[in-house]
Amino acid sequence: MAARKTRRQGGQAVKIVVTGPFAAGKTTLIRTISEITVLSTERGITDDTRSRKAETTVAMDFGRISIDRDLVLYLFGTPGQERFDFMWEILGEGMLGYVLLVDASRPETLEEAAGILAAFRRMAHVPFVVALNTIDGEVRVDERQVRSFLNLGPTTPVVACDATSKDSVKSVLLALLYSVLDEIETEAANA
Amino acid sequence: MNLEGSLDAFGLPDVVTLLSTTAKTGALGVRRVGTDGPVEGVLWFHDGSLSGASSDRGRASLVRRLVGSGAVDDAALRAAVARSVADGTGLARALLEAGAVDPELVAQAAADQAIDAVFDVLRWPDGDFGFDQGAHDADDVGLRLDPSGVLVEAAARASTWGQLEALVPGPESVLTLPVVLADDPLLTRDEWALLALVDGRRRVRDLVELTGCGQFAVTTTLAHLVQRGLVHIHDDATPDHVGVVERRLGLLASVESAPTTLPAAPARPTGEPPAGPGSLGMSAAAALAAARAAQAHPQNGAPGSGRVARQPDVVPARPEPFQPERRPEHPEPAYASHMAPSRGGAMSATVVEGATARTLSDPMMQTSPEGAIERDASVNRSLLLRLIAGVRGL
Repeated sequence: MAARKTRRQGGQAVKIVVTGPFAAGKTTLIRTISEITVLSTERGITDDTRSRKAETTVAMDFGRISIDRDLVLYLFGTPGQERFDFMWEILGEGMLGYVLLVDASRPETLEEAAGILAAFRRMAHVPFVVALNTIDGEVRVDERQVRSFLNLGPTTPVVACDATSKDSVKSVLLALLYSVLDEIETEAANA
Repeated sequence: MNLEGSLDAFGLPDVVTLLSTTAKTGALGVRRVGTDGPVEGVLWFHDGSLSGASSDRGRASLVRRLVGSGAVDDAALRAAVARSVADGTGLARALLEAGAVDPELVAQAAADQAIDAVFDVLRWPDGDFGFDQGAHDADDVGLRLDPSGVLVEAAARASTWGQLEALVPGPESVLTLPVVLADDPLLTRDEWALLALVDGRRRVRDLVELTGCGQFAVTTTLAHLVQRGLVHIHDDATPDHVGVVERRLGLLASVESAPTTLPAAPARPTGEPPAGPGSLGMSAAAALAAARAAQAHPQNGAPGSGRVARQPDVVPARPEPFQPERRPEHPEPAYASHMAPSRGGAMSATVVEGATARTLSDPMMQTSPEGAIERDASVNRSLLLRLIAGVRGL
């Protein structure tokens, strides 16, 4: 699958995908950092997941950060429900890397996160970071457990974050960007 | 429906950029409810390129453009319509495949049509969109435009639109030709083609329809003509030149021995209402009386009153009998099952660690190198440093 360079009205655009289990806080994270109103494709939930969340993202979340005049960073959030999995590959094309967001208060979602991560690893060979969302203040999963369950290597960043805090979301994005930078520099050193 | 949203929250450029970036093929439908009712447009994508567009899906916009250019004769159009009705092929494509039109002309018309459509939709104040992945345009004539270039062109048009609107206020403006000019006119062929359709009754909207050139092109040409005084925007406050002459000739009736006969106006096209009193072969006195009556009852709009009554539409709305059957707007997507990860039920924190071995053996964890998304080769250290600095500065 060929990666494509995105050009937007003469400038360049890069893309980061935010994925994670249902109700992990993906929409919140993107809304916190995006300079535009995030694409509103949320709908009321009609199936048995309604008890966890009244609305969910049915197409995608979309946020934008203008880095400078010629460079735009897009954030794409994957849909939260299983029947929208077909969107992942669409959203993933051309991405710089991705953020796997996990709700630290709900360890039961780790298995879902593992499945999503497996699919993304199979789909894309790009850097990623795991963000542990502690928005509710309740932390029932720590970094060690996440690394173990998700089979993460020591170089994969696991970052605690509050999806409602701009500084916290910035730290997640920076962790991913530094991972990409590390990969590029490693490749250059080995070349 | 694979992707949908509101244009208020998610602008057309962003949607188009997404579809282009991800090399999608399908139809991006756009809808809004305007003052004249619902309007639907469509932007067709082929592997991320823009392959066609229309801001009014109910009309065969591309073939209208070709017909308006005079490039299609009756026989060819009839044959294309017959084929379209029979097998759903788009009209422009049918004409192209029949060798009835110059491929270069079709390519240019299709590109103009696409840019016009994007420009139109960009000016929508609101609306919704939905992307039907995999849908194919029955009227695909091989156009492949870089969507970002189209957006740039459409944005450039939008930036000049205000100046054009200052000269040609809107699609309902009625145009008239001045009888007296300050200088000898100098016209291009395009300007002449448009001028020939200005008759004092047609609106800008009618001219767009008749020429098939798109609102921007027609308005631009008209604005140049208005600026040079070759066309006037009809204004109720400005006396009609013919009416003024008729009224003044009527004043001669008391000193002329024979009844003053006004010059006959040309016959009106079929379908228009008969001329009102005072226009054809009427005595000057009768014309004057009619003018006075018209002044007393301006809604009658009789000539000589200095007013022009609102005429019936010269180009009445009509159905498109040869529009191929449309695809369903929002078909159920065929969800790909191969992407679905395994998902289990609830798991407590104490079970988490014990599940590691199972996770490692999960076939979903096995990577498949072939066909996987790779990092964009254009992403380099310099770009990363700009991104990092930018995010840090938020």
